Amino acid sequence: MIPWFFTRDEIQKFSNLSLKKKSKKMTELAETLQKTETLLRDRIKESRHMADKAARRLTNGDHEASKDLLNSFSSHIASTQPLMNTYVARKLEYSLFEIMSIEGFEFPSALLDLRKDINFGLFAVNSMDELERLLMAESDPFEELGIDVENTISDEDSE
Amino acid sequence: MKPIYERLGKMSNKKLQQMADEHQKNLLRFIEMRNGTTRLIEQNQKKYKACMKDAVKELKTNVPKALGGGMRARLLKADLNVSMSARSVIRMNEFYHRMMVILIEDILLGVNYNPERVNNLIPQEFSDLISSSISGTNFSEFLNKLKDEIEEELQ
Repeated sequence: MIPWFFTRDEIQKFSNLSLKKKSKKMTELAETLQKTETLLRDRIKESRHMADKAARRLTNGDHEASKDLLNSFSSHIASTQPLMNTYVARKLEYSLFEIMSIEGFEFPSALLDLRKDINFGLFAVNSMDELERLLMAESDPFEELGIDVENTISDEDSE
Repeated sequence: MKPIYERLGKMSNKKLQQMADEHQKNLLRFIEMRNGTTRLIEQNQKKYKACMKDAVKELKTNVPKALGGGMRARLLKADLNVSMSARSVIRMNEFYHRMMVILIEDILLGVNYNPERVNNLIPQEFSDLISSSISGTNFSEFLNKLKDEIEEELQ
């Protein structure tokens, strides 16, 4: 079965556009993607700033202020995730359009007719909800580092 | 729909040669794009590795700073996921055009075809494609190795 991402209306419509219209669409998407990325980077910068400040406060023995900043950091992470999901969905779409703009592009159906077990990574999702779930599961370096953000805040709180 | 080798077998040599040339050009385009994407993946993997290395070090002394590094790693990881997914689509196209060139060239040389022929061509190429694609989305393994490596360095 062809992954849902490739069957979306936007993807199918893009494949039927003229070169000029494809180029225009790519420019528009690039601008939107750039804006999303800038906003995301700003939020991450702000989060790091909060974490740095919390670290300085902690070094100075100011536990209450450090706890406050870590709480803000935690809610900042939570508010960043939906933006991250939007960024990834837009970047996926942009990447696919970029590939589709190459002369000779073939949809997966060309090969899936011959072989069914092809893994298309994030393109293999069946809905945006699934993409979000996948990103939540795949993109948590805190867990990989053995950091539990909630516990970190509680630990600071109990000191 | 008839199997691909049957459809190709009914075409004139001139038409087949034109098709082979076209697929060859397309193949080169996708190889070039795949190389560019691989370079980008390697750059981001290096950045990600450096970011995680710093975060693991900071974890021992300063958890809030490690959290800050983790946020940056989160974005790099998302970019890596997208690039690796895009590469799987590029590689699929690369494989498709390569397979068509091989099939057409063989038909032009009078190689006898049977249904097994196409199947035999695919697994060889795809064993690599499938494993690369899966490893592209399996970050746990990549991260566990990285974490072990960094911890070894710290000891």
